[in-house]
Amino acid sequence: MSLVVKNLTKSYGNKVVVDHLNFEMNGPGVYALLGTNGAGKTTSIRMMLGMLAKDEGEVLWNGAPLTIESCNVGYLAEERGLYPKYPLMDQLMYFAKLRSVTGDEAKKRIAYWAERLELEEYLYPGKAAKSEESAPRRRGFGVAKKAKPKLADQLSKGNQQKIQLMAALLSDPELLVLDEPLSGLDPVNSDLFRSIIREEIAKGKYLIMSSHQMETVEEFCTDITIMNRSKAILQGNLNEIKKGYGRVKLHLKVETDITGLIEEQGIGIVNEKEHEYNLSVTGEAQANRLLASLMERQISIITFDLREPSLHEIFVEKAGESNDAV
Amino acid sequence: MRSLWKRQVNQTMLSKLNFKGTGSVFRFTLLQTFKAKANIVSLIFMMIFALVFPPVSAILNGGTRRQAQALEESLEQPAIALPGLTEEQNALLDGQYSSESGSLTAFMDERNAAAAENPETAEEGPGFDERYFLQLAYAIIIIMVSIMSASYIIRSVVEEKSSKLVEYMLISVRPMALLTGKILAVLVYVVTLLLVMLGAYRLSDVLSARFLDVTTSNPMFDMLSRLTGVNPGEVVVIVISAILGILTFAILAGICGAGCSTTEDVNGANTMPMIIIMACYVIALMVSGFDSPGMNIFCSLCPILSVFCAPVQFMLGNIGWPMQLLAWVIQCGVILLLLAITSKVYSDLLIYRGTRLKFGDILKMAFAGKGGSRS
Repeated sequence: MSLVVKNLTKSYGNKVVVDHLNFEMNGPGVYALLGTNGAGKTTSIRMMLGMLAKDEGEVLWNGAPLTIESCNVGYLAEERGLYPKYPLMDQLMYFAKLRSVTGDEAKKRIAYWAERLELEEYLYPGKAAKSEESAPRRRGFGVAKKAKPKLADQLSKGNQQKIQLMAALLSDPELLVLDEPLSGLDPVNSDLFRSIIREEIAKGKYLIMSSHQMETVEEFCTDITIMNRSKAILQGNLNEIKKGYGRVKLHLKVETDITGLIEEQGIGIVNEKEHEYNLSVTGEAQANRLLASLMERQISIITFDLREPSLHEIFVEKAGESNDAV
Repeated sequence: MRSLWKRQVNQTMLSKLNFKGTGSVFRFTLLQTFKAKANIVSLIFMMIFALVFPPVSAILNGGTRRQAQALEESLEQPAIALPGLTEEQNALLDGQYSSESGSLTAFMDERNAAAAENPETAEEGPGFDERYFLQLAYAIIIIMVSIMSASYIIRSVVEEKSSKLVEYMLISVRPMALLTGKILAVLVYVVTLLLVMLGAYRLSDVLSARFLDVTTSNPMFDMLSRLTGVNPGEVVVIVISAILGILTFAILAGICGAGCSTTEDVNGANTMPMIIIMACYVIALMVSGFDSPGMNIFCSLCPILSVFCAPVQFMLGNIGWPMQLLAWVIQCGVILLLLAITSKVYSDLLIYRGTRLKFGDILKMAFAGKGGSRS
């Protein structure tokens, strides 16, 4: 299976919002679409999934245009919601039916995900009521009050987000598109979502993820596109990109003030706090020279960590360069 | 050019794929519509209103035969005695008025039978009362179902948009299927409501006449009674015309609703369909006053207005089947045109967020070639 995005372009009037976006996924994994606010990520996703008409370009899934019929897509939109006044179970059965998952299979999958996402008490309130049989009966009549089906607006935002993820996964999609999947989640639910994403990756699914949380992207993604002002400004395999930069970030912690020594060697200080420095070096040679100087002066070193730039640093640098060029 | 149009039609409107999933959307929307408390209350209220209306309105209008007879007898003797009238004079007075009560339908039936027996002495065409009140009764039903369906559609589309579900829906079902499913569900609900009302009204009218000896005496309600007891041909004309009308206004409402982003915009979105519906209603009543063949044909064929006028003109015998069929064809053309506009912009409108787009803006969008159907 493969996903090919070719020359995807969209403009509103004279404003180009996506400018000839190209990328490919030739195997399972996670592809990240990153970018500043308004860079064109969500518009690109909408065009890829066929929600929005494209001005130019094509999106191919296994060589054929990607449509509702040609690809089983799961989508967790950035702007997500549920029908606030309809019972949750009715909504999930409806969503499953729209994705051609019907009857018992839909019920089975809903039950699985309800357990996995810890939503049983909301989706099966009757079960929850039964399990509380020891609870006091209704006064006088000895009849337990029948549990009413839960409506979406009775759920917290995090639980609603879990239902939306469940809806995206109900059809067991080949291609899963997650737009800001972890935004608004508490750490516990965030970990739950991460574990589910890991499971989907292990199942060999194709994932496209858009996020502003660079640590999350770095955790899952193999390939990335960074967009700024409608254009792709950096693309490729994340490890290759990082290797291309080399080990140029130095985290140094010592016991005395060495600001003079650092400046003497022409090293840029990104930030410093109480003898702890984040430095930008030109390469390993410069870092080694600094280390030798420290040892020569018999300065106690607590931390000396030379590493490749993080995705966050690459993103900030690239977006900054692109904005300066404009 | 023609092949381009054909291709466009196939790609955007009539392709089967564009309507895949309509059934699921229809069933879900219908189920939730019937389950909604507000809708259940509306249904019950309308039914009770229709059941209570005939006897109450007849009593309020003095329409009980027994009461009328008793009143007549009790007044007759003093009326003779007081002015000192002779028996001959009294008989002369009796000859000048009649206390017989009867429906306009019965009167028309008698007149039609007389006309059939003696065509030379028959009056030319239906009278003003018949034209006006039949038009009024029919127009009230159509305006009611049209306004209800238009506002239900707008509410339903805006609810989906404001709940931010649309993006999820659009990866499962195409926009046209989403709209069509909703329209059909609302159509079924509104028609059910209408049938329940008319059925309850008819039942109540019949039972009132039989057991309470009460009949409606207002000409408009006579016409309502007539509408609930029409012949099969007229039923076909009324049902098809009403469905075409509801479809027209529902598609219009769907487009207007999709231009909204929040539930606060619903009132604004309602304005345009309501103005068109009200304008058609008023014009239909106005033209019913003119008994001119030219006017009858014009109002029967004029797009959208024909929904209000053509069936009445058909029932009055002013137009025949060919003219009625032509009216339907024209109305179907209007519906296809609206569908073409919808298919061009609906997907983009559903995703659009911002200030409410007016119908004019949406038309500009469609004709400027912005938006478009999904591949």
